Amino acid sequence: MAQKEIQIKEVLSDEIVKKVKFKVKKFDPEKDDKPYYAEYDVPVWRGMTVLDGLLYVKEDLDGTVNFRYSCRMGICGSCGMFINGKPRMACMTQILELGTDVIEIAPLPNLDNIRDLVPDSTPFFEKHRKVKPYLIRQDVKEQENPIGEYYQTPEEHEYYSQFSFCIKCSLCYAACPTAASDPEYLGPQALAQAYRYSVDTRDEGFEERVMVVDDPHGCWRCHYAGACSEVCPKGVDPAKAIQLLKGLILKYRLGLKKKRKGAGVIPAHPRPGVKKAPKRTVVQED
Amino acid sequence: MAKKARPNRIGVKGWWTGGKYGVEKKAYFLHRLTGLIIVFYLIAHIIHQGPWIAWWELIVVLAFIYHAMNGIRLIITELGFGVGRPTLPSFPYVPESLVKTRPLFWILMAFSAIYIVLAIVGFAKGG
Ligand code: SF4
Ligand code: SF4
Ligand code: FES
Repeated sequence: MAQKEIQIKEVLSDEIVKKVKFKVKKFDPEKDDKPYYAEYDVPVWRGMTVLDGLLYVKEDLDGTVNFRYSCRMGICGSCGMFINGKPRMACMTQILELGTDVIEIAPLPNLDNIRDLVPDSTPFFEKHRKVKPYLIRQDVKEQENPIGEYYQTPEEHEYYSQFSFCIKCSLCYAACPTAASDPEYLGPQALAQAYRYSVDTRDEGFEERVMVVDDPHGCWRCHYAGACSEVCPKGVDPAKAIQLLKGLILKYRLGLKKKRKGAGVIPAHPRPGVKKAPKRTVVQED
Repeated sequence: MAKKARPNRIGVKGWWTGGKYGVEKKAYFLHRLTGLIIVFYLIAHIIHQGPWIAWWELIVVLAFIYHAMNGIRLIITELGFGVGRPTLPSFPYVPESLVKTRPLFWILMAFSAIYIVLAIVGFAKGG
């Protein structure tokens, strides 16, 4: 049997291979006192994601269904939903991979529900902002008027690159049992970002961030349930970052953490011995 | 009139419900539960000095064994030991921090099981 040929044909075909039932949790704050489930029959083709299914429902069956999405490719972080018992990205979840005939979709928990499948992410973003997720430099004047880039070796980049893939989708926040019972808890995403910036060799803001995260509602509230890492769609592994952060803070509190200056500025181009780049040939128009 | 959003935080229930997760989440719930049992026992013990119902003491001992064993794992891992270094994830990504620390969990649970059996045997003999 020509196995390969069949595979290519199967992947490219838009033939309906299955029918599934979408159970969508609906809630309109202007009309409803309580959320309820609405059911829709959705034909499925190979490669169809839960987001595709919801778009089919909205276009062909019920225009009132509300959900949030933008990029359709796992980059923007807007389409997080509680799908079949887990927080998942609707655009990254293949219907056929779920393997069920009924797909239950609810808004992400631990955040207020604005309407249907849409959570209010404001508190989540506020927590992210709280940990100062940017490079902090003591020489603010230089930072505001940069004369060049900061040094960083590929090895130093690896200290944090895994954690920089975060798309702020809040799946981890929805999965975390600590966030479920403590509204003040900073949450896996923000804590992971506190670590990500603190170990960046270009940063000088560790002490400022310690003031935020070394707190009863900060990193010590995490008890390593690991649910955050299980659901993260970008392989960020926030649980790893949080435990490393705790270790770093302990080291710092014991006076064992070496003080370091942020990486220096790469001298302005051209460097000695390097030929100057030719003049730009394409001029940008306004 | 436009109404406000619907609160959707799971609450304390989220310690054991809220989705299908791995063994660490269950360990988390048991750790909190056994912690509460121990605290409750200590408070009750201070208030009530007389003799105790024996099976209740057994429960506290079992809770203590689990709490201590899992606590060893938490002390080690929560200080960042054994959770792995930051890496470039390849997909499908299996969380390294969980995979790497899981053997430690099962070893400690094996110890828990041994202690629990010993405690129950001792209890049955009327210790
Ligand atoms: S590891 Fe920590 S942050 Fe992640 S889900 Fe568990 S308690 Fe929450
Ligand atoms: S850490 Fe992962 S799950 Fe959490 S917000 Fe970032 S990308 Fe989403
Ligand atoms: S729509 Fe952008 S991540 Fe899913």
